[in-house]
Amino acid sequence: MIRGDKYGYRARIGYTSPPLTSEVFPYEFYKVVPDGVTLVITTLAITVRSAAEVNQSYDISMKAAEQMAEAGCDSIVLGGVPINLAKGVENADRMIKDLEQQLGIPVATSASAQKEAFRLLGCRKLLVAHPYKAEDNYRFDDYAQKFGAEVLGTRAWGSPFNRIGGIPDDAAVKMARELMKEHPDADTIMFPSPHWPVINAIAPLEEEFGVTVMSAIQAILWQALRLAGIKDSISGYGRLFKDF
Amino acid sequence: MDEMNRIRGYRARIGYTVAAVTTEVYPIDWYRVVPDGVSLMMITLPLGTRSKEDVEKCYQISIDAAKTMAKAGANLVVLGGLPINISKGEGTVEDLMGNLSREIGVRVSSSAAAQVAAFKCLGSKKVVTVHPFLPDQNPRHERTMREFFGLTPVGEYAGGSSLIALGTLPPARALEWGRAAIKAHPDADTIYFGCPHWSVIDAIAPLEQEFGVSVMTSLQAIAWHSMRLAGVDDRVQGYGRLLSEF
Repeated sequence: MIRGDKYGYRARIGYTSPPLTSEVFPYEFYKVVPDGVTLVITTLAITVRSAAEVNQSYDISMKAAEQMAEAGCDSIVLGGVPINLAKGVENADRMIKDLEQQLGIPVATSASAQKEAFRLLGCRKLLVAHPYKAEDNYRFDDYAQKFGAEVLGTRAWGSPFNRIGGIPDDAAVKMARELMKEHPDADTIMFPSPHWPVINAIAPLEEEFGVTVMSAIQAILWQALRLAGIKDSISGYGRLFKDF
Repeated sequence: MDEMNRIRGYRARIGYTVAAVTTEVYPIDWYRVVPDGVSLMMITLPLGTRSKEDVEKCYQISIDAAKTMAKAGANLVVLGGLPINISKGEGTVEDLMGNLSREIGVRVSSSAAAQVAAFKCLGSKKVVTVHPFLPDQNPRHERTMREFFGLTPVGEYAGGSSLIALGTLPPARALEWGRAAIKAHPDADTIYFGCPHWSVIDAIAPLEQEFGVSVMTSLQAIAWHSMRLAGVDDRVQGYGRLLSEF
């Protein structure tokens, strides 16, 4: 029996994906979302995260959002916190409102999705495990402050930006366990960047340590689903999907 | 190997340049067809109205994208978009792939090369083409079938949709259009579904069974050729002769 309706019969989610290549995001997207929800993706221009690439990606994002709206997407998330905040935090909020007005559909950014997820989950004392080199640690301290939380410890997997699709599945769990041993008073483990494999780490870590796990991909998908009117409680990928 | 130690594409990581600003159907159908451990690494291209300028721009971006995907660890790079592949002339595809492969140190293929190989394996001679676009694209398909693939085009069926609306086409549409095409051209030995960005995958096996012809689709050919070039020799059931027999 062949379905008589389109693949995205419940919702079609637009997402601008910052890395020039996208590998992990679509795979993890379809692990989480319910049947009938599809991803409409545009890749941007980031390979080394230079200022020129970030600015170019900001412009591509705006054009892609128009195309996604024209294609009939039900919600759009503009990916990449550095891109979202490239023109300042105030501009990022204003840009969301302007785009929503222009396109007539709900819009979020990776930054706004994570901020809202932090608020709902009540994250205060963070451990950050990220895929990049240690020289990037400061960026996550900065984000955490913007999201109203304090960073107790950070682990870096050490991958160059353009190779994070080749990080093994257990990297997130390994780093998080090390951090939890050092900082047992943390209330949240945060996995920034939705382009490395983290989705299988969320539930086991929440169960093992009794903390909250907040990952970028989880926040983006959760926000995109809710904005598109999909209110399903999804089990297996953390408190955010199950409880909010 | 412990499953948790593995990377997503632990059997093969296939880079693919998507000839569209946005993509929706391709990754869904890709992961339905390929076995676990074969991952897709995508780059979308700014192909808007398929104007000459768009195609030329995308040709150059595809080459840069191939370099990026090689650096990111792809085992194979596939340049998508038949019109982009052959935009410098129909005899240039082999040179493009060969030169690029030598430069980036990773094997390079293309949508065009995959489809040539697929038609050859299936033994196709007389082909009816089904595409989702307006009838004004029929002459392009007819010409490509004759001049690039060297096969006999017996007819074209235009679905009447547009690039921007491809994601909204239900899977049943390909089956309906395929039936209409083969009924109008019963002398065809192959039904060819052009463009890998609309829902076609579910129509392949029913049409092969119902009409006793081969069905070849762009996505099926690209996935099959990519896997074989990357050393993934699994026979995949449910999506036509190409994936189950060759």
